[in-house]
Amino acid sequence: MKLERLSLRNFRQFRDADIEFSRNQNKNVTVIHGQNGSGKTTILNAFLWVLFEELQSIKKPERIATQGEMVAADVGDTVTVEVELIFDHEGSRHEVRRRKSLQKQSSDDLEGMEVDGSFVVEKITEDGNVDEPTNPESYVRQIVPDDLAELFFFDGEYISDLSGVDNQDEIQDAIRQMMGLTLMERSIKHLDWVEGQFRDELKDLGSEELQSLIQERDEVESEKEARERELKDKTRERDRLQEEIGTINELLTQVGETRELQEDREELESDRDELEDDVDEINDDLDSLISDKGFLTFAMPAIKETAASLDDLREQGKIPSRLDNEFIDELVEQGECICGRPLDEESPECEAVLSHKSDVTSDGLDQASIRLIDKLDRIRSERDGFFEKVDRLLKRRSNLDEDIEELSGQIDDISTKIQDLGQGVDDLDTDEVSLDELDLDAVESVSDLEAARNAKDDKLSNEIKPDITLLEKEIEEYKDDISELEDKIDEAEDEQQEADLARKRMQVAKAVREELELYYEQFQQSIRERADEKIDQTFEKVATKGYEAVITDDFELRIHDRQHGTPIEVDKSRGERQIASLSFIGSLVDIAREQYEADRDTDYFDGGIYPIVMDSPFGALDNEHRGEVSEVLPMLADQVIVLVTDSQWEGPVEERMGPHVGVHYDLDFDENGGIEGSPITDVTEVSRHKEVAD
Amino acid sequence: MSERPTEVEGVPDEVLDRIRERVLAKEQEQQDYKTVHGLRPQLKEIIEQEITEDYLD
Repeated sequence: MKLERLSLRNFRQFRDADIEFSRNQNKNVTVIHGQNGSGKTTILNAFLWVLFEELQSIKKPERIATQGEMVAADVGDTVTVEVELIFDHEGSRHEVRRRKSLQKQSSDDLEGMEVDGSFVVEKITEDGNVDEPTNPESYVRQIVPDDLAELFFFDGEYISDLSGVDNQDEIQDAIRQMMGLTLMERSIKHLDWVEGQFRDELKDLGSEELQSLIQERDEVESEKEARERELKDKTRERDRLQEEIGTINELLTQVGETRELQEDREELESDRDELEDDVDEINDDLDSLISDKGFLTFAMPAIKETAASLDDLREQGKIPSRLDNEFIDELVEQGECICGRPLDEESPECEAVLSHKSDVTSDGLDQASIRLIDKLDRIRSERDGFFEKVDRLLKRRSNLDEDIEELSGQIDDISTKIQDLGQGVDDLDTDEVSLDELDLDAVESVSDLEAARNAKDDKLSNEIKPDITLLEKEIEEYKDDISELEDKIDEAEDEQQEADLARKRMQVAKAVREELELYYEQFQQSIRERADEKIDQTFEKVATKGYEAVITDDFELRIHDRQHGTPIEVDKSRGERQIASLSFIGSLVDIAREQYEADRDTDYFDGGIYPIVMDSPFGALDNEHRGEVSEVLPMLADQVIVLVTDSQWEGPVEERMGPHVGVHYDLDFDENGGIEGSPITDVTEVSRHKEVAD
Repeated sequence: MSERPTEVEGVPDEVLDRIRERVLAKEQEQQDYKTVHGLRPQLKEIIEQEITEDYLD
């Protein structure tokens, strides 16, 4: 930040003033001379006001506008106060302007009420482009942190407080802020907070559930596999038994007496199989019907209650009872009545339905009510239709069961007849069939063969087939369970991934924070040593011999007596303290400049160019110290602006600082020279060195 | 930069360095967040943007 010009319009006692600062490297000092009360502190405050809208150490700060302008204004008129600061920052010219319009409220009002105001920052780049930052307040604070402003724009009256025991917080804050330590502190603190946020996310994403679900899925899977193995065995046994029965059937057809019976039996069994298939089909239809419409049986109480309420309303005439024309048209279009009957075009049913159409149309609540009533009627009708269909299917199944039972009886009779024949087995052609293979080694007659066949058939029908049905059902249930568990596992895996991600992010936040903490410790120590060395060097040049300025481990500024071996803090005079404070400020500005010019590769502290603007900085110093400080300060800062009385300037200050001065201004204060005898200060340029026009 | 005190498995150093730089830049940008923004700098978003599912095992 290199100051170029400060312009004041109606600001306190300055009606119209422009101060252009020296920016020459060798003549980097601008001196503004003024007697006590002439406005030196007001100029210092103009910097603070335009940048931060602050005023310090000033009498009646509420009176911002020039007194003469307020006196001259009529009640209701406005006086506009404006301060503009132009400076260069990192290669761009900046114009910062704060303006307030104050309306006079009464004849003796010298403060005015703010009725309008603006704060504008314009950044003019080297190629002439003008940018206006969207948040000018924030932008200015990035260039000059407001808590550092007191160091760059300081009042000499209070400067000595910096090195007082009670004001160490300001020292610590200043060093931390200037060197980028606060930036790291905030980063560490906020990363810790972020780490906590990810930890909370992790807590919400429980990861134990996934393991439990996977275990459960594996257990169900192994149960299913066991059933499948069992099913395979049973199926194999069923096939074997069916094959053996088939073989026996074949043998039985070889015997003349049994052939016919066996052929009849096969025909009956075939018929029975068909009937059993029909029963299976009916069972499937019943399942579907109950699944689709079964709810109607449970919903009916509520439907009946609603219908009853609507009937009441209808009886009371609160809702119409006519059918909705549109609804009737829909039914005809669908070709099915609410009772389920077909509505073929021009059929009596269709005509009957169409006869309900009314010439009067309904709308709004009426129409909605009609629709609701019709729907409820339709539901009642559907429910009745449901029971009718169930009854029909059950009746048909019952008939089929009877037929099956009858066929089974006939089949049993055939079996009995075969067993009663007493036919031997010698005539059987068993060349292709080994009775041993059929586990029939003890068979001596057809009767034995039939008994064996019946035993196998019993086992097949009463044991193996039911077992297979049960196993197939269980396997299907296990498959459903597995599918459900896998859906849950998918969800849990998604959560697990989120949890893993939250954990990883938490670890990253921690790693970056710990790295910053480590570097912070190292950097803080390095900064402390650097500040300590620089301040002591500066202090040594200007202070009484034998004293040293020290930055302690806690970043406190202390003055020690060097002569007593171990440094001892001494009770300093105001002058010594002021020297220490000036050394401190100058040293910080110098370190920032060194860092900026060195362009060091660091994320934390880029440094910067800062001016020093001092109001009456030499007041408490003796002549010797005034001279020393005057010589050192122009070397520490890139730009120095000094506001002094003539008596402070004359002598050693002028002698030592004079060679560095580029511009001199005088503040000409006239207590009654303004409008209607109000105080006013004019700023006059006294001299400008020829080298200053840079 | 000093030796890193904490490593994160599966996350390269250059990613951690980039996050650190972005964190500090965001803090710098919002150094007056208390007075102007009233919100903490959005550091969480930086980590979420940098550390994606790609870094999971």
